[in-house]
Amino acid sequence: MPLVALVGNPNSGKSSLFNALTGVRQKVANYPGVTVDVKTATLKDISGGPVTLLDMPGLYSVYPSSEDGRIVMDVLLDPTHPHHPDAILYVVDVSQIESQLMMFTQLADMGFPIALVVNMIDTPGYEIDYDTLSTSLQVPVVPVSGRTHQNIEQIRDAIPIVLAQQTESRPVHYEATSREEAVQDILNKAEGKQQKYREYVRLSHAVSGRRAQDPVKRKQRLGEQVDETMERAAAIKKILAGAIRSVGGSDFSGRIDRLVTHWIFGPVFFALVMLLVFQAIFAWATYPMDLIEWLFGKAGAGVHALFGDGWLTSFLSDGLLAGLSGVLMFVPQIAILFFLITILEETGYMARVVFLFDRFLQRFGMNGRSVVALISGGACAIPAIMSTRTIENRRERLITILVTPFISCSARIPVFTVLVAFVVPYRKVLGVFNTQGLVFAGLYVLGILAALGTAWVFKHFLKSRDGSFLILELPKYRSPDWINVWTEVRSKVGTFIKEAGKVIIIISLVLWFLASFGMPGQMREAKVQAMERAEAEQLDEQATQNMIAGYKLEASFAGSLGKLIEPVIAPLGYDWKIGIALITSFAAREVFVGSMATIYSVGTDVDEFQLRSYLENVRDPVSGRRVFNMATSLSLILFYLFALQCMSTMAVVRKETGTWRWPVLQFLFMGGLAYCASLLAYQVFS
Amino acid sequence: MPLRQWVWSGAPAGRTFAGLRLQETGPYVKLSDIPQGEDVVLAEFGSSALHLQLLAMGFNPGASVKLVRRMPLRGNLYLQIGTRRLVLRHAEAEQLLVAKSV
Repeated sequence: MPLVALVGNPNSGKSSLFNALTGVRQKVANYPGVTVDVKTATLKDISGGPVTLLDMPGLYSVYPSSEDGRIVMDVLLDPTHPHHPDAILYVVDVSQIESQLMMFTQLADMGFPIALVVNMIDTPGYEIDYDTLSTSLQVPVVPVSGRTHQNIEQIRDAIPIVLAQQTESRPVHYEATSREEAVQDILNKAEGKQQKYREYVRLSHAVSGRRAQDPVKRKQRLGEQVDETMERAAAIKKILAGAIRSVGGSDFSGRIDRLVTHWIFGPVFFALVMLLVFQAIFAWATYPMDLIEWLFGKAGAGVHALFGDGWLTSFLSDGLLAGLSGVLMFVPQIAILFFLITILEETGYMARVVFLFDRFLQRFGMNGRSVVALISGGACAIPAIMSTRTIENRRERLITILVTPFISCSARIPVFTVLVAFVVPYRKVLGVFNTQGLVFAGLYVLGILAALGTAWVFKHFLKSRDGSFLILELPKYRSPDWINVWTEVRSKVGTFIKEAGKVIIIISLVLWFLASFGMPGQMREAKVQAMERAEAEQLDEQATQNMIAGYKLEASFAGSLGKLIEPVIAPLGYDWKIGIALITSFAAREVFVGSMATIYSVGTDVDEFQLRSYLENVRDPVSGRRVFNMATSLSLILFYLFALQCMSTMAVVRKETGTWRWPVLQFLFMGGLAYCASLLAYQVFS
Repeated sequence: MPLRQWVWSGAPAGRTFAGLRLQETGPYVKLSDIPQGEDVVLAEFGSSALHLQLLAMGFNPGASVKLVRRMPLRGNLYLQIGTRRLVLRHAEAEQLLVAKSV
C-alpha cells in the first residue's frame, strides 16, 4: 500500500487536516525520542486503491536543528525506511505562505512526488490565484480548510495524481554547490540536479547533530545554507508575486497578545484562568464521582449478597473492588483537567503561557514548557510526567519530572478534607473566604514552593550537557480541533488507568492480605476479645462487626508493622494506628480514607466527611487526650503533602527516565522532607 | 563580545537584497538591546548552534524584525519576523545583530 506523508511547518494545521481526512481512526506510530506523536491511518476511498496517510512532526527546513526534525529527515532520506513516503502532501498556512514555502521548494528539489496543500483558507482576507501558482510551481495545488472541511475531497482526488507524478523533468529552485572540494566532487558525480541536491542534503544530515564539528567547516556550511535560503526566498517571492491577489488584514492574534503577554497582566490573567479551571474540575467532577461511588457500593453489596461472609467476599469487596474504585474514582477529575488544558493548548494560549514563565522557570532549572506538567500535576502526576516529553533538554525534563509530584494531586484532597477541620476551626474571613478554605489553598501553595525549591537545588547538582534553547513559534489564536482534544484526553486518561491502575490494584490486594491475615492464633484470639467487649458494651450488630474488624486489624500483619514503626513515628505525633494508615498509603494515597475507616472500626464504606466526624472523638485510651488534635493533624497533613506515597508515580518515573535511580532518589528526598516538616510541626505545636 | 564575529559570506556592505539595503549604520546593535516596537533589519548571526533553526524560521540577513514585547529582567523577547511570531530567550537574541531598516 503506498504511503503518503503530510509534511509542513509546525502550526500549518497539519493535524487538523489529518483529522479531517481520517476522523478518529488514527494510530500512533512508535517513534522513540519524538516530542509529538506520529500518527498513521488508512485512507480507503481513494481511486486507485487505499493508501496509508502519515502525519509527520512539523519542521522548518531539511537542515533541521531539532531532534524531531532530524527524525523526520531520517525517514525522508532513507528509501528503505518503512515510512519513507511515496508522495508528499506539503501543507502551508495560507496566511504564512511566503515563509512556509521554503521547505516545499527543498522537498520538491529532492525529487519527491509532491503537491501543495494550502490550508486555513477560511481565514478572511487572503486571496490567491491557485491555478497560476500551480503552473509556476509545476505541482498540483489544493486549497482547503482543515477546520471547516472545505475542499477536503479534492485532497483525496489529488492523491492518485501525485503518486503518479513524474518528477525528473521538473526544474529545481536552487542548484546545490559547495566550496568544500570533497563535497563538490560528490555533487559533480550526481546525475541530474535533483540527485545533486539530495546528495547535498544527505551529506549535511550525516554531519549534523550534537557531535562536535570542525568550526571552519560549520561556518562554510552555514554560509552555503544562507546563500541557499536567500536564493530560494527570492524565487518564492517572484512566484508569489504573480499569484497573490490580496493579503489579509486584521491582526487578531496580535491584539489579544497585547493583553495576554503583558508582564503583569499576563500572569494575573493566567492565574484567573487557572482558578476557573480548577473550580470547574471540582464542580463538574462531583457528579460522576458520586455516581462511581454509588456503583461500587452496589457492587460491594452484591458481592456480599452473593457470597455471604468469608474471605472470598472480603477479597472481592475489600481487596479488588476497593482497588478498582481507588483508580476509577479519580478519572473524572483527570479527564476534566486534561480536557481543559488541551483546549488551552489547541487555542494557542499555552504558547503564550510558556513565553510568560520560561525565564522564571529557567532560574529553577526548568523550561517554559514545564508549566504544562506542573499544572497537570494538580490532577495527577502520572500523565503530567508523561507530558514532559515535549521538553527537549534532558536536564530540564528530568528536573520537571522530579519535582512535579510535589504539586498536590487529586488523591491528596480526601486526606486534606478529613484533617483540615482538626487544624483550624471553621470561621469566615472577609465575608467571602473561610479559614479552612484558606488553609487548603495554602497547602497547594506549599506544594508549589516545595517543587520550586527542590528544582532550584537540583539545578545546582545536575549539569546539562546540551545547550538549552527555546525558539518558540507562537501560533495564531484559533478554535480548538475537537478531534485532537478527544484523542488527547482519551490518551491521558487511558495512560492513568493503565499505569496507575495496574499498580494500585496489585498493591490494594497486597494490603488487603496484610490487613486480613495475621499469625494464625492471634486473629482468632482477636475476634474472641472483640466479641467479648462488644457484648460487655452491648453494641448492636453493625457496631460489633466494626469492633471485630478493628481488633482483627490490630492483630494482622499490617497491625504488627504499625506497631513496629511506632517508635519512629512517635516524634511526629502518630501512634501505631496512624502508622498502619501511613504504611498502606505508601502504595497510593487513595487508600487513606478506607484504611483509617477500618483501623478505627468505622466500617468500610464511609466518605471523608463521615470519617472526619468520627475521628473527632477518638481518644487515646491511656491519656484521654484527643488523638487528632491540632498538632498531630497538622503534622499528618504535612506528611501527606510532601511524601511520595504513590507507587504508580515511581513506576512511571522509572519508565520515563529509564532507571530506578531517579524514582528511588525521589522517594527518599520527598520522604525526608515529609519527615522533617512533620517533626517540626508536631514539636512546635504540641 | 566582538561585533564582527562572522559575516554572511558574499555580502559586501550595501548589497541590495529583495529591495532592502543592508546599511552600515555604525556598529550593529544586539537584538536583545533594541527598544520595544522598533522595526529593525537582521544584519549578522553570531556563530552558534542555533543558526540553522533560526535561519529556517526566517532569520536571514535582511529580514525585518520587530520587537513586540519583552519580559523584564533579561527575559524572553516576543518578536515578529515577517508574518511569524517568535519567542527567543535573551541569550539567543544576544547572538543576533541588527541594524535600523532604511
